[in-house]
Amino acid sequence: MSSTTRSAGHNTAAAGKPERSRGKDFGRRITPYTLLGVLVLEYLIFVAIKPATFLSVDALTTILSSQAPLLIATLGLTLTLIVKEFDLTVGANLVFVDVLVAALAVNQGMPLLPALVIAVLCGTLVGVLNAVLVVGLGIDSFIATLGMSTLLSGVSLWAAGSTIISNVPSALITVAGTQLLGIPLVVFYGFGLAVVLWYVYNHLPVGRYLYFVGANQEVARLAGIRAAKVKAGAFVSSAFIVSLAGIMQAGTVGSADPTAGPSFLLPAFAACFLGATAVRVGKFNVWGTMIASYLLFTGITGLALLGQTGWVQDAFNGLALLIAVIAARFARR
Amino acid sequence: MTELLQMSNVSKTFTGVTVLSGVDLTVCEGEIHALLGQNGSGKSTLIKILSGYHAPDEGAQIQVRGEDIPLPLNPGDPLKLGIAFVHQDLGLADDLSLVDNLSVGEYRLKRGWRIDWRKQEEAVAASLREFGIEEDVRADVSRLSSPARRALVAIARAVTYIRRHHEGGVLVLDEPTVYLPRDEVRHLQDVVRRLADDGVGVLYVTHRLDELRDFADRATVLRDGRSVGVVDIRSKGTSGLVQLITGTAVDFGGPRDSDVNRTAGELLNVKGLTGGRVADVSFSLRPGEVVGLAGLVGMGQDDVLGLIFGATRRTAGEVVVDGERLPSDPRAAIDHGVSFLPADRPKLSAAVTETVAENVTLPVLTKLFFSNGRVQTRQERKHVTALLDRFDVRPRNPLLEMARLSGGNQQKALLAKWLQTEPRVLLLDEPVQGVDIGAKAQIFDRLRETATAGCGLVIASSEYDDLALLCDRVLILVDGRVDRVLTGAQVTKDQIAAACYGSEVA
Repeated sequence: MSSTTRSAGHNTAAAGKPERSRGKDFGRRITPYTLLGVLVLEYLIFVAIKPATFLSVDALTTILSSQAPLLIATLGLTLTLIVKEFDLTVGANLVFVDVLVAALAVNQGMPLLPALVIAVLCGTLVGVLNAVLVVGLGIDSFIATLGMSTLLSGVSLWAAGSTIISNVPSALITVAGTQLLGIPLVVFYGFGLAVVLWYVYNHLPVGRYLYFVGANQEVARLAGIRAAKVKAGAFVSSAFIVSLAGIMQAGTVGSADPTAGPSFLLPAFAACFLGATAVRVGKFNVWGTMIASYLLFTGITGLALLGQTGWVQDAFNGLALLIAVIAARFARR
Repeated sequence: MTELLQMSNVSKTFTGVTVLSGVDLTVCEGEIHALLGQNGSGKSTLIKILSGYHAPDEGAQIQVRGEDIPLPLNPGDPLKLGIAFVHQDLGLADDLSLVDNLSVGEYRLKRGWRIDWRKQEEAVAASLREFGIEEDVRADVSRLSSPARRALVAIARAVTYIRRHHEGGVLVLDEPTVYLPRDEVRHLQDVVRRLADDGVGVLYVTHRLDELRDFADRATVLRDGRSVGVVDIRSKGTSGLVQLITGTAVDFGGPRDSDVNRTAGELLNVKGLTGGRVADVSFSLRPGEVVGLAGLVGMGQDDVLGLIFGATRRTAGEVVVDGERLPSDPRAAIDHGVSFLPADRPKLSAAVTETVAENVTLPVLTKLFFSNGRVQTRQERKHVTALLDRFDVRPRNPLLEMARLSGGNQQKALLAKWLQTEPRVLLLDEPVQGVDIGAKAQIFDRLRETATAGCGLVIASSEYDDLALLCDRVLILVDGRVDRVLTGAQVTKDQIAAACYGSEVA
């Protein structure tokens, strides 16, 4: 649309969107904390349906911890989304590391520590390969990571011998699952990571550079920023964080399912896009992503506690992603 | 003369801010009607109301050929009414062919369902020929050799649209010449004049007053959202128009006194610079000196700056700053005190979705505002507010998204971005392109100040009078090489123009 580009330089007062659409009113109602309100509302609805179940500490703990590894991977995904690239390997890479830990420690009988190190190195290497393809060779990230993701799924199946590997060493389960105040440690890791990323995005120059590389890579480069390095760094550090999520997955579940990749991919993207409609509206950001993640977890856990499982999970996540992108389309910036 | 388009009592308020108030505008058959005004005067808003992008406030009326049009317009309505727009970015799909670009929405069908490509191509070729374009219509738009041709193709498309519905419609040209060099504007104007003579009403939005002479018939002038007059261009002189537009007389200053420090050593030395269209360009720059780069389109003058700065790769030659060789890398250039303000604002100069403060401090963020383990945002905002104040950027709000500023204010903010790095060499590509008169005078003042303070400036521009006002020396480029150097009394608009054109003939 020709007028969109034009409006950038010449708009006097209003946001650069056609204003007749009803979306304007809808968009105006999206404030930085609307999503938080939706999360609270969602919980209250569950409480209203089944107070005995949902007002318990157990229910809250379950909601908080049920998907902690996914939460970590989702936070990692914000890195590549901020530089405006798609990294579709999140799900497959998480499972790849998960399976690698299990295969090395259980099937090969390797001591836990070297198994973990090798798995994380391999997972991070995936990020390096993504960076080479996207930044080095200039291949569209959507296609490059789609290929990489499928490749990883195949390798995971092979490494696991096409079955679920169980009996992950208990030391790892202790690291992930030990309870503090009734909440497993992995949840604290997730919140710790959120604080670290928030600090990086909001208080370090490199955070600013990430957003600028995403907004306009040439402008960033001509301002003296090593744009290519920043982008490559985003892929690699994102893959590193996803690898840690993979380890936590092994430690939380105690087994590794080589076919679980897709169940992480979509919720991670849904949470990031939904998160961009909150806190720093219009931008991928940490606290928005956290709120959105818990909106999804509450929904899924709640439905499970009401006895709804299986198809509901996919339908819910898919719907959330669609609502997220529709809301982002109209969100006032 | 019949009135083709009449807009009356058009007002527009955005969340309490009045941008337009009670504006009238009439375009007659066969007339070229200019819409003039500074950035922020309401021109864009008025055009956007006409194109169905904004809804006007209650009380507005629009008549087309004497008939009342229900408001607000929908984006598809203007075309049906015979009103077509050509915006400054032209809206062409670069990697589609001419046929595809001109056929959108209307294909000649064979037996009612299959596109008859041969007939389609003939029709498109015929309508392009009318505009003097004899190109292979199957070639991509990106293959067109000059910006003027692209503009003509866009106009041809708009006229095709109009004719599909009506005899004599209204053609709205919204700053079609911003990206065109002076010599190509003339050709475009001839085409537009012929269209007007055929009965089309033309609404011509522009910043460039000098191009209206011998071209436009009347002008509506907007200032602060109000119409301050409808004038006959032929009887009103340029200076009279300027006064009407700004409300005061604007002084760009005479040619500057030279601040060249001849005793100091060379600040910048470019030797055998080669890359892109540029071949073997050499020159040097002293403190306080302003060197201009001029040439006809495609002669490479606009590529020189990017090659010096390292924005584009040099294939040969070297750049020496203060005795040190500069690698082909923007970071190194900035560290050596070289700054570069590119011409293409939305693509190369500003990240319009980020805030003004973030844009301005980008090159100095780590150096100036990173301490105690974090970016000191409060300090940063104070710094930027002071800069916006000094450069008269309005509104003076560092937290505003860059896209919310008008073109002139964006450019002032971006100039602030690069001057705060305290460069020793400042490279500027079309520094006042698409900028209103008031902002232009302010930018010129800043540039003069900077040179007086001992910075060396290199300015590439197709505005010969601007070069004449600012430069000590002007290099004329032909086929990527320095063909002539004008110095001292030779640096006048006419001599620069003559040198650019003269060398083309020779």
